Amino acid sequence: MGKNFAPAKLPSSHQVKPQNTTHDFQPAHGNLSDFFTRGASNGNFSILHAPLIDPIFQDLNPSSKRFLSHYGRTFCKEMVVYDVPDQNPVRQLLKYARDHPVLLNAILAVSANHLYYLLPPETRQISIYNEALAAKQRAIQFLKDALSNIGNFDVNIMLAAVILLIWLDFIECGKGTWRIHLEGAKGLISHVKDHAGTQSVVSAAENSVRRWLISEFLV
Amino acid sequence: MLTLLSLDIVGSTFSSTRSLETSIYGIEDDFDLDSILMTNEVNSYVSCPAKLLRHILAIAQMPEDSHLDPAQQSSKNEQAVMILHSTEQFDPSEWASVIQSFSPCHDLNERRWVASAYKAATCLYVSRMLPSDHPANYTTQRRQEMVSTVVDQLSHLHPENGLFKSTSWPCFIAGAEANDPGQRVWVMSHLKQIYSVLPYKTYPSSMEALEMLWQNKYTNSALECYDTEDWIRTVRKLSVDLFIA
Repeated sequence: MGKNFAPAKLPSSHQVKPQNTTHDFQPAHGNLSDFFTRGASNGNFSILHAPLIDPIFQDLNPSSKRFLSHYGRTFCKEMVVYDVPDQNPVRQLLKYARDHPVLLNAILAVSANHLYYLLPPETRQISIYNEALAAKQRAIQFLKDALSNIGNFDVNIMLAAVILLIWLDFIECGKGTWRIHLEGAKGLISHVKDHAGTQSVVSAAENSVRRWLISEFLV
Repeated sequence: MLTLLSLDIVGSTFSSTRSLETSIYGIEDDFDLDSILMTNEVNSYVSCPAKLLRHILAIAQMPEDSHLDPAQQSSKNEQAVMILHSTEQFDPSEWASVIQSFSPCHDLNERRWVASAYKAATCLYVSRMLPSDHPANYTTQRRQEMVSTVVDQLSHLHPENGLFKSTSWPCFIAGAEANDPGQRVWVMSHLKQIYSVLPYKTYPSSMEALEMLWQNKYTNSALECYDTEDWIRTVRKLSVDLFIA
């Protein structure tokens, strides 16, 4: 793995608490491993150490602000083992959300869905579920549009959106749809590899991704 | 990309659709794959040691028996035996010590418990690739001992621990293999506890699948422990692409 250091550590009791608490995980003192950094950099995202800032929430409706807040404070802890502030690659996706509607809507969809199922059944609001569904449909539409003009879209942003949609299926079902999203992501990766540096060209990989998107619309 | 690969590997274990080609992820040779999996193992949601994940991948890439002639089947069995032996040699304590260097928490014990559970579960999973009468396959007693290992190791973990959520895969395998009713109850309880931490429907789906498998055992009442049909193939035949991780 390459790295060797001796940071001050927290006792294991300071691990991430379940999502229904307000515990804030504090980073260890001294230098932390760059594994979290490396994990984020695998998606070619630059590492930003600034905390979440208000511009992310400007001009969004109250529901969207609520879902983004839930995503940052609660949901993104669940996709990792250690939720280190400023180094959780899942939380760092928020920094790209305002500039990439596909990612913003994938975040809203998975966060709203997560919030919906987090609540006791008797207190769940169908409006939250409906907003999750609407955001998911928008995310899929943006993915479909991106495939038609793939040279102008950041593939890593698209893959991040797909991963969130996979996670949404884990929350909502856990069987079937996640595989469709995963195969679609693999088709996207394959397409980019085969056509690096060129404009979008009709290919077997692109067709498989389109079929995946079309099947989503039919569902 | 690493998250997709980890999900693909673990998801392939019980999925009816298996088309796991690592070249899609830009991984062209085994050395790169091992390094890449090791990069992700510290903070990955799956929390499975990279070496074990590598073995699970190797099994997932094996062709179905129905597609093989006798010579190919023999070769597949040899490969499965090699993977099984390599899995058995994995040292959870040593691995946990290495990971501790990169962990922001003092969680050496927790890592060792989870790694030990994954090791036992991976051994059980890999052994199912062998014919039941293969000399390298486990006896019923040995199989139940490994189930007990999974249960004992995971029993140490507290639901509030960050690794707790990552134990459904070994827990499911232990449940599928368990003959003891008490252990089955424990497995269900553990999955329910994970579900109370993470409100994901994938956990109730896993519990439904286990109930179905256990009912299958009871219908084969002539056998105390059913071995007439590989439970992994049974789950795959459900054609629901169950994801357990």
